[in-house]
Amino acid sequence: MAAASSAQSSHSWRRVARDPVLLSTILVVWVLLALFVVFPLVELLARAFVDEGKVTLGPLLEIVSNGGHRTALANSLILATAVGIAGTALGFLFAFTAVRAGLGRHWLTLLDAVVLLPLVSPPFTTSISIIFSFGPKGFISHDLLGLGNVSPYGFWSTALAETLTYFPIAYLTLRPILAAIDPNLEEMAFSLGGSRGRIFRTVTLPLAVPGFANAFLLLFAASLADFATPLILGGNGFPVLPTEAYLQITGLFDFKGGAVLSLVLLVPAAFVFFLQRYWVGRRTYVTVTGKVGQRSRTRALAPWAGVLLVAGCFAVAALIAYFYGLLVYASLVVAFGANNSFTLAHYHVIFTEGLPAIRDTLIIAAIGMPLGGFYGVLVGYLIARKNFPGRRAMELVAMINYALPGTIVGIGYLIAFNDPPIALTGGAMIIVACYVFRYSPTGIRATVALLQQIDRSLEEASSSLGAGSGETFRRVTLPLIAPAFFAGLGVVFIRSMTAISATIFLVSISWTLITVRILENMTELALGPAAAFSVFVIVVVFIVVAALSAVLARFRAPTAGTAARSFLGG
Amino acid sequence: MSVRFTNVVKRYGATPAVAGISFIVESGTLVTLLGPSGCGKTTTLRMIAGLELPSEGRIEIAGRDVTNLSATERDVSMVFQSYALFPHMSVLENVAYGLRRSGVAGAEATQRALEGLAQVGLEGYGQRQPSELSGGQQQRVAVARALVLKPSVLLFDEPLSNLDARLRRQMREEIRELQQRLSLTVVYVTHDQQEAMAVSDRIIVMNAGRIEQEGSPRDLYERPATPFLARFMGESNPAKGQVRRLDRARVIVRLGSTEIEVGDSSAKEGAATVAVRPEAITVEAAPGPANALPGTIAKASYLGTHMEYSIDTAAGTLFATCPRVERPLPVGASVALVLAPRGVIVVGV
Repeated sequence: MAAASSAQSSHSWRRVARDPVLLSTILVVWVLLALFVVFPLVELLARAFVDEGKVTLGPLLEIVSNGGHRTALANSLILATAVGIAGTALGFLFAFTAVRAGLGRHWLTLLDAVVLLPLVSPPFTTSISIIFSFGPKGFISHDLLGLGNVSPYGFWSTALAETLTYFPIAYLTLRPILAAIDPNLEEMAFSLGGSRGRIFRTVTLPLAVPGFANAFLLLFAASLADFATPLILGGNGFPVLPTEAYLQITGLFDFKGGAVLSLVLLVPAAFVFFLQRYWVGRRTYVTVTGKVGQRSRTRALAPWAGVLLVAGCFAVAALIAYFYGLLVYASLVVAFGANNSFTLAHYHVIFTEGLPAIRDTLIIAAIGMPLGGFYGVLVGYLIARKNFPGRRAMELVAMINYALPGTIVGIGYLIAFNDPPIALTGGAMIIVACYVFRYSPTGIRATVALLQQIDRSLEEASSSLGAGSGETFRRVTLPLIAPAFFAGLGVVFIRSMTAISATIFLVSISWTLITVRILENMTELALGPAAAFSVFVIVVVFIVVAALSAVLARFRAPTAGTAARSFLGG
Repeated sequence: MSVRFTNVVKRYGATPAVAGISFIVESGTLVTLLGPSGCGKTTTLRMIAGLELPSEGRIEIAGRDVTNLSATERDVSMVFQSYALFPHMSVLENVAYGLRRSGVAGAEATQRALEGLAQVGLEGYGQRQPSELSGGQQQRVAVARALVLKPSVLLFDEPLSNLDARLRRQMREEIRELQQRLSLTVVYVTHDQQEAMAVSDRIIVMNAGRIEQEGSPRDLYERPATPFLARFMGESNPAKGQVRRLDRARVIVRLGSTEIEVGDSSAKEGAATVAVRPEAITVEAAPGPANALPGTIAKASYLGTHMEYSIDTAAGTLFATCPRVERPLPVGASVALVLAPRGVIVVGV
């Protein structure tokens, strides 16, 4: 068997070696992956565990024995669990309502829009609104409830903000699973005389269990990695690991301590990632059959239950809408809570003082977008279509930066690219590289998914008709996977506009980002400009998403477009 | 000759898909690779196309060694089972694709593509999208797309398998007519024995990665060399018999109580496996003529054009087709079977 497999691999080497375009492409991708994924991670590990040329666990033990850090680890896990449970419940409420409550198309679109809003917003949006609502002069706590000196900081507000920000992930995970549960099963149980409540408990819920597990793990990972929300809302009383690592580096300039702290975060993050991807993720795979629309409405939902579900959804949707409305309002008044007279001063500020940040962000996004889109399509194509040694390894390595919490990636880049031979710190390129390698995996996955639907003989026909592998890729494959390309573009752009956890370590005097400016505004309590920046980002992202959706809608293969569009949301 | 395989082997891991085959395809002929699924016929075709490279052996096309050349570098075009029309191009763009890739200028490529469409009877369809055509029309576009390159060899991979039965017959006639009109060299893969016989000059029958037998359709049907071939080329009854040689060209085959004189120059004397074609059995009511094989009807089915009988005899249960539908014989009836010499074949020991 060993001889056979080595004969096979030497054979595929021979084929790769005969195709210079393919060979050089593979080599270039590997060099990029080695440089921007493996090298920073190795440097991070070396910084954390190597002292004067010797491997040591000393710094790790030091960190772990520190009571404050242990509290931060415990807080991170508690927060992630809470967000996982609450977000999954909320996601289920929305998914079940969307699938079973028999809402009209327009109501569903509205629900979708409200749900997807948090996914494309900069990370502080909900946090800002929570401060506006529950702060000492908060709209809800002070104006409506008449409470005095309440603090909007701590576990509860952090958990609320993260739940509202990340529950759409649970919604997107659970909705196709619930839609794939054949209503006929419920109908049958109904005709056998089961009560509606009993059918829900004994048929619907058990079928959705793998979906729950999947949604919970995804939310757990998202909360664990979240940096922005706890930084704003956690306050002194509720430290978590990512913020601790950040303060270790920016406050104490302790790179080693920051590296070790971020690696402590890696343990639960990696555990959850592999659990989700290789155990739960496999079981919940649902194919899009397009049959859902043709099914008759199920009777398995009592009318009062339907009303309750819809009411619950719209209450949550109203809360989200309220938060965003508040944000817009706050950006248009002098000082929210104290002086509510109309002004455009905050927008004036962000387009004068804040202009460098806007310009830098747009430049970086504009460079990163095509690079990331092309890189995603190229790697996805290699993985899905070409047989070369090390293909599985390439797939795995390409996913690493996507799976790691942003704090780890950011600190790794900071340590790796701070000094020669490759000194990139302070420039725009390091931020672009961070975005490309962290957010292109979405494009890679979209490409692989699309290619699996495209018959391989199309490419064989092209080469049989005399086109080389480069020409085949350009003229046949690329046009067919264009939807994935645009989806990849969209994701890289959205994240370039909204991300902070990794890039906060990479900004400099010459290159800064809108999200970092929002954070600075928040810490200076300049909430007006922060709100105006957030509104600006949301508007830009919405315009770009709408434009990309319009482009995607033009593609002939409707399933391909839908598949790619769903990646935009997720 | 146009294609020459010399001791070609293709292995996937340790398992050989093609276990050492040699054959020749003469210019201007249509040669079919025929065999059950998994016999290596498609792998062989893909090795001619350059979509697979052989593990061992040598492949020549038009006198040139192409063993290690890729599909792009070979003067060969393939018509795929799924047609593989590019869905994002019009019919004309599809047909002109190969011309453009081999450096033919725009206007000339368009002109030649239009000629190609005319050759397959699709004038005026150039601006359509492939998805707007029927299965048979898509098939013709795929043929035109391969044809316009004037390749040394044209390859067909199960080209009719996605068409319904009526269209299959029409398309195979069209392909054969086109091949003869333009004197094309064609290698054609199918698992359908009738289709192979209808279109081919020569048939190469493959089984388990090897060539079982090759020859003209008539050769293979009338003189199958092995029991597998007798089974695969049309239907046949395997029966146990005795062979006695009369002279160099003739033997007597004894089946049960009947003896048939058969033209055969190679069969050995003694016990032998004999294939009996169902259409070579004439079923008469007993007692029938002298030297007939007595039997009893075990099953009888009416199929409109003919009757099918299963008949228990001393030589085993024989399956027979009988064109006389107006007087069907009932199950249990005693019958006498007369065997025509052309349908009695000694296939082995």
